[in-house]
Formats: sequence, C-alpha cells, structure tokens
Amino acid sequence: MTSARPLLLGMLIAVGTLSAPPALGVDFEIQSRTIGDIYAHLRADDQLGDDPIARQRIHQLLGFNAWDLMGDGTNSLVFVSNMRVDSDLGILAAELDNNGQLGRHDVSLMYGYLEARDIGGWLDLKLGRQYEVDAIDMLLFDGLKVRAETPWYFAVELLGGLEAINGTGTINQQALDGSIEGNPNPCFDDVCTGYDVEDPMPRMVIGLGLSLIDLTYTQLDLKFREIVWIGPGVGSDGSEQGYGDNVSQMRVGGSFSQRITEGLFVHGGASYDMYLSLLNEVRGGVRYRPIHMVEVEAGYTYVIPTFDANSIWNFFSWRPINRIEERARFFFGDDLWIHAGAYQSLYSADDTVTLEDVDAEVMDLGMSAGATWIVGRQASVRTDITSQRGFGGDQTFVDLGGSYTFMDGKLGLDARALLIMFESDEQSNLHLNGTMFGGQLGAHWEFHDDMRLNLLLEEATTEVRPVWLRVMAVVDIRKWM
Amino acid sequence: MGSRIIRLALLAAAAVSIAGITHATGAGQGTAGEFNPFVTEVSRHHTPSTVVFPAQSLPLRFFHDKHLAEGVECVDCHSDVAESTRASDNLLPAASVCADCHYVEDGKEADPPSACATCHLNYTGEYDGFDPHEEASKVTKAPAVVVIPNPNLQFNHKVHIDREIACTTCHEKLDTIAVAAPVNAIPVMGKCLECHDGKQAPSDCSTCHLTQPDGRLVTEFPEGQLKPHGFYRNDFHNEFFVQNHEQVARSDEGYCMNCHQRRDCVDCHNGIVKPTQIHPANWILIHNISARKNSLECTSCHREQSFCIDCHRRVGIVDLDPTRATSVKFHPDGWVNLDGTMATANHHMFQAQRNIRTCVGCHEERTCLKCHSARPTDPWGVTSYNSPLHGGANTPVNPHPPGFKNKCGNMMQLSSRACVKCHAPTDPLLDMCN
Repeated sequence: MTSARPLLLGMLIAVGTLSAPPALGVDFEIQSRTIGDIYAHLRADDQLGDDPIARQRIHQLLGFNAWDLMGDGTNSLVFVSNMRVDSDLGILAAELDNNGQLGRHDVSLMYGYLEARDIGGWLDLKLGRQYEVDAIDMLLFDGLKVRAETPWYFAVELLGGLEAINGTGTINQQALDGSIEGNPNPCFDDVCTGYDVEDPMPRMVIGLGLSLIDLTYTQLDLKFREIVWIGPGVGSDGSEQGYGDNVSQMRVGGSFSQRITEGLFVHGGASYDMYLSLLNEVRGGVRYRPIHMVEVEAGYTYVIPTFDANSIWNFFSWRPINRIEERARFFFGDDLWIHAGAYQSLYSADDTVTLEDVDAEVMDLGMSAGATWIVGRQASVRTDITSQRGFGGDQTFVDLGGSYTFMDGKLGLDARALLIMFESDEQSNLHLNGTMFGGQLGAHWEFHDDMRLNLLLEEATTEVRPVWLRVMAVVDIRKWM
Repeated sequence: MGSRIIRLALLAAAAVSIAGITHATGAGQGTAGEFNPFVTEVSRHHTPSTVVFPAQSLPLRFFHDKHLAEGVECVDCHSDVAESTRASDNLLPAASVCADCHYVEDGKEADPPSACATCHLNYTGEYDGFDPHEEASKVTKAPAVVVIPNPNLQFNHKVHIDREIACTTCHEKLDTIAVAAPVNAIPVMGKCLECHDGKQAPSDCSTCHLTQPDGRLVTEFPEGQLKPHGFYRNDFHNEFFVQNHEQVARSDEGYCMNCHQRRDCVDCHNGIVKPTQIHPANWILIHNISARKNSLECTSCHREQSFCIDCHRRVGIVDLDPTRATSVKFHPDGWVNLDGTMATANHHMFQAQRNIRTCVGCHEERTCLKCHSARPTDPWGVTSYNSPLHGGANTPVNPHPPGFKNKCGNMMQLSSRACVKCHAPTDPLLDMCN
C-alpha cells in the first residue's frame, strides 16, 4: 500500500462537508463510484501452477467538488478532485513475492486542483494535480497552469510543475513506459540510468501554448512541452553530471479544426519529437454532412510509436504506421441510422536485411456496416458487422446489441452478443483460431435520485475456454449539497 | 464464409434502408404528431433541436406571409415581445387580438371573410348563443389546444430589441411561410453565432443554454439528451464519437468542459473501467489482435509496461526469470537467430519495426539488451548473447535506424540515459555521436 493519507484526507473532507451546513452559494458535490470485477483466467505456463488466476478487484473512486467558492453564482473559483483506491484481492502471496510490480492495494489522487476562471475577464488559473490534454499527448502533473486571453484573437498558456508518475491513476502516455517499470534503476559502472520505483526522482514539466480564440469556426492550438529529470544527469561519457542533459521529453505539437461551410470540416494535428528529431504523429481528416440525412468522413493517421527519452525502445521504432479511414452514415429521422466504413493500415519494415521475401509494407484492410434504431425513448437496437483482413489476422465480428428501459429510464436492461471468426498463421500457437462467442447481459437501476447500480454479466466461449464468465458491478453515487 | 457474411450484411443494410425510408419524417410533422399542412419547412441546412424546442402542437391555420404583405407589423400581434426577458414567456397573441380584424360574427360578409376555421384548423364552432371571442371558455366543443412547451433555453427578447436588432434578423423567411413553427421560423444556433462570437456578444455556451450549479450545461431533459450534432464544430456526438473524440479534445479541451467533467475523461482513460462500447465481452481473449493492428491505441488508456506486463506475467506469457531463455512457446520459428544466420521472414525485427507497441506489452528492455547491448552483461548480471561466453565476439546487433549517426549527437546532448544502457562510457561507438 503506497499511502492511506489521500484516502483519509478525502474521507475527512467528505464527512466534514456532509456535516457542515452549506455556506453562501457554494455548492458541494460528492461523487462515488465503486467498481467490482470478478473472473478467473487460466495460466499459460504450467511452471506457474495449474490454479487459475483469480481476478477479484475492487476500485473505489471518490470525487469531491466545491463549486462557486466565491458564492456569486459565476463559478469563478472552484475546486475539483477525484481519488482512487484499488484493491486486488485475488493476488496470491507467492505472486507478490515473485513480482515486485504487483500490489494488493494502491491509493492515488487522480486529480485535485483549485481553478480560478475568467479573472478580470481574461485570466484562468489552475493549481494542483491536473491533466493537460493537447496535440502532444495526455499529461498528469502537479503544478500551475496559467491561461491568459488577449484582445487579439489568441490566448497564451504557461504551465509548470512536476510530472505525476506515481500511483495507478497515472495515464501519462509517455511516462517512462518501457524503461522503468520493468527495468528499475539499471546501473552500469555505478551510474544509474533510471530510478528506484519506490523512490522516484521527480521530473519537471514546462509547457507553453498558444491558441486562437473568439473565432467561431476556427480552432488552432500550438504547444511546446519539455519534461526534465531533476537530479544528477548522465553525461554522454556515462559519468554523473550536474543538472543538465536530463531531457525526458521535448516536443512541439499543434492541432486545428476549421469549418469550411455548414457541415463541412477539416481538422488535423501533428507532433514533432525534438529529442528524436522526427515527426512522430500526424493526423488529418475531413467530415461532411451536406444534409441532415447524410454524413461522410475520412481520416488519415501517421504514427511512429515513441517513448520516453530514457527508453531504448525508441531505437527500434522508426517505421511509421499509416492508416486511412472512411465512414458514411445515413440518418432516417433522429432515431434510425445506418453506417458503413472502411479502413486501410500500412505497417512497414526494412526489407533489405534478409534474403527471404519480406514485404516492406504489410496491409490490414477492414470494412464495417451496421444500423442503429432508437425505438421511442425506451428501447434501442444496434448491429454491426466488421471484417478485417491482412496483418494481424483475418477476423469477422458480428455484433448485435439492444437495450430497454422501464420506469422512466430508472431501470434498464441491455444485452449484447458478439460472434468472432478469427484466422491467423502468426498466432496459431495461441489457439485463438476459430470461432468465438461473447455475450453480455447488463442491468442498471437508479434506485435513488443520486444513486445508480450497474451490473454486467459476461460470458465468452473460445477454443481455449468453453466457459469464461465475468461479473462486474458498478455503484455510482452523486450527491449535491 | 466471409463473402456469405458480407452478402448478409448488405441484405441487412438494404432492409434497414427500406425501413428507414418509410420511417422518415417530412414537412408539416413535428407538431406533437399531428400533420399540419400550413407548417412548411423552409430551405435550411438543418432545423433546431427538438430537445431545445420540444415538439409543439399548432392546430392553426395562419399566414405570416399574407399578414406581412398587408403591412402588419410583428408587434401589432406580438405586443409583449419588447418586454420579454425569458424564453418561456408566452408571446402568442390572444384570440381577441385576431378578432380585432377577423369578425367571425359577420362570417363570409366580413373583410377578410371569417369563421372559426379561419384560424382553428378543421374546427367547426359549436357554441350556444354567446360571443365565442369574449367567452371562449363557454364553447360546447373547444377547438384543439395550442401547446408550445417552454424551450430548454434562456433567451431575452428585450435585450435584442433594445439593441435594435430587427425581428427578421433571427426569424428569417417569415414572409414566405404560413404557420410559424420551430422547423421554419425558429433560428438555429448558427444564426446566434453570427453575433455571439466572443467579440460582439458573449460566445459562452451558458449565454443561452441552461446550466447546472457547477456551471456545466444541463444536458438531460425529458425530451432527450442535448448533444452536439456537428453542424458548427467537428463534434457530432454519434455512436462513434467515443472513439473519435480525440481530435476535438486535443484541439480545444475547454470546449468539452462546457458539458463534461474531468471525471468523464478519467472514467475511461484511467485504464480500470471497461467501456463496453469499446471492449466487447470477450475482449481479454482477443485483445492481442487489436494490439497487433494498433487499431485501438492501447496507450490512450493503459500504460503498456505497468498495465500489460503485470497480467502477462501472472498468466505466464512473459518470463519472470531473466535467466530463463523462453517461457511459453509464443513466437513462430525463426523469431530469433542466435546462431548469427541471416534473418528469416519471421524474424522479430520486422514485427518490432511494424509496431513495437506489441512487443512492449510483454517484454522489458532487458529482453532486447541480451542481444543488442554492446556490454558483456546486462544490469542484472546476465551474460549477453553477444558475449564470447555465448560464442559471440561482443558485436551487438545494431538496432539503430539508417541515418541515426546524423542525429544521435542531438539526442546525446539532451539525454544520454538510453545510450549508456547499451554502450559503456568508453565505447568508441559513442564518439561517432560526440
């Protein structure tokens, strides 16, 4: 268990809030979500024993928000937070001994910040643990973000702080993945290139952004971000250095969206990795809805998987994945529509290093079609058939789902059935080839204005396992005071 | 098999199309289910949301075009509009206002000729000797009721009129329509945005839309869920949006927060909840297929090393013991060539180049260091396959891409941590970058 302090602090705040009368116009909100998840998984390796892996997990999310702290009805000052407690009750003691990464309990603050909005009509501030989502990636950090709107159609953003990398709430896409978790603190010649997972070295985040504002149909966002280690650096000769040479990530990125005319949009984005000196991501697309009844869209993605600068994975990953997608939808009123789509992905490799016939580019082709029908406000039926051919195996999905609600939507049932036909020579040893079936039965019950219970029962049948049952329960509570 | 399924899919799509065409709505509907031929659609790209303007019942016969052509001013009938500050204000003229000109008592002799059915669609007056205009509640059979539910919106006519904005600026084409209804006379949001651009007038969503105590918009109404239809931004919240929202979120996250909370993001992006619209029932058993194709970007919600490896270790498809050569037979023959022969088509380098994220879900860096490190032992003290002990001559397999030496100097300047994992400080290869 990392620390129970955030949990205790959150509970104290929650109890204090519940017992204290609301002052001024401040609105307090408590959100709770409890997720239970039970199933078992067979081991693939006999040497690890023949007992199934018991997945018995409980996740507790607890959110506490205080709105309109100034009490003037403008929400100019707010506090929002969410924390999470994860318990994995199925881990065996022997597994804990063998795998240092596993833990039975974990507590993490997912976010928690004070936000001042529209100060003087031009300034926004956020202080605390917060997410930054932009063209570069998604980042969790502890610090301050300042956004100032100018009278000249643009706003400037500055952010600084420490990257939040501990805890299961971390979702930073680049955060040391591939370099640390499985490779804690590797040291050569007394120079350590990583850090101890239990005692992580902090990493400083600096960000700068520029975005267009007050242009109704134009959005443009440019960002620069640098993440550096705070601590002794490693010089190019392997010796321990001062506080330089410590870049973990250095990127610039941008994204835009432009409405050309009613219903016609173009959008795009790109990210350039300044450490690797390469364009690691490009996205673009066009969407057109010429009339209410028809929508078509096409998109292009170019991605080179990249990692933290600390990772050697970057040296192996230098070929892009290209993907083109096209979709069309036809709407018959607001409650019936059909869709059809296709995509093509290209994966490339260096074909000059072998005498055998290796394709420099392998392709994955896919197409799908389906329909959705909303029957009144009570029921819906949806279906989709997707077929994929090429790299990664040939597969066909037949997906059928539906839902029905009672009691003004307070009670609902839903079901989904999925048939998968899969063939791949590359993964024949996984015994996945063949026909698989998956079914879901779900129910939700809003048993109180602020409370909702969701239950989900899943069953899957495969070549590996004829019966594979999973039960999931979610309890949502949202309370205003 | 595949072609049969495609044929079935096409048949199903055709059947659904036919059903949809018969189901489609047309002009004149949208008035609480009753068809009114005097409610005609005008040429517009789209019409206002039925969530914002709930279905109305307008069993009326009326001609805005004829009245305007006669020189009747809007305020002659809608006399309270200049003082109206709420969208829920009833601005329809009372029957007595109509009676100022339409003399029902005179019937066909009146100018214009008047009868109950002049305004009340298909209504034959049934009353008993009194003046139905003065004592409408006493009719023995009342005409169909006009129902105009309150719009789920806030709007202040007075502010707009005080700014001398003409009625026809927003209510366009009244001179071409008969009965005014949402489908032909209520402006769509794009009309509002012509002035509400953040400079001339506020462009915050909460300027017009109803808000919750936390400042976010109210999105749940008895009439349905308020959600963008993608006419003004690239944000159509259809069933695919859960997988396509990245572009909008990345370019203007603040816009999303008008309706969403941060919690809505981490509900999925925290990697613990299984959104069923993304991961179907037997996902755990088939996830490796999508991971290989990169058709869903796993890293959007999961950290591959910490999330994937933990489970893969427990299942036993990743070796726990670094000294153990292999665990479960997973990769095809020819995946590695420790004997130094030329790589075959099955060699792992091709897979790594095509999508290394597939590798990262199971392997750690030390797996690669066994062969690709220029050091004789890895950080755990395990002898490298390049070591003379393994028959090699400490000549690692070079994993660097073509042209690497032209940019490695920049990389080493920014951080050398990755370099020294494979190269000893004294390695002369590093001098090529220095």
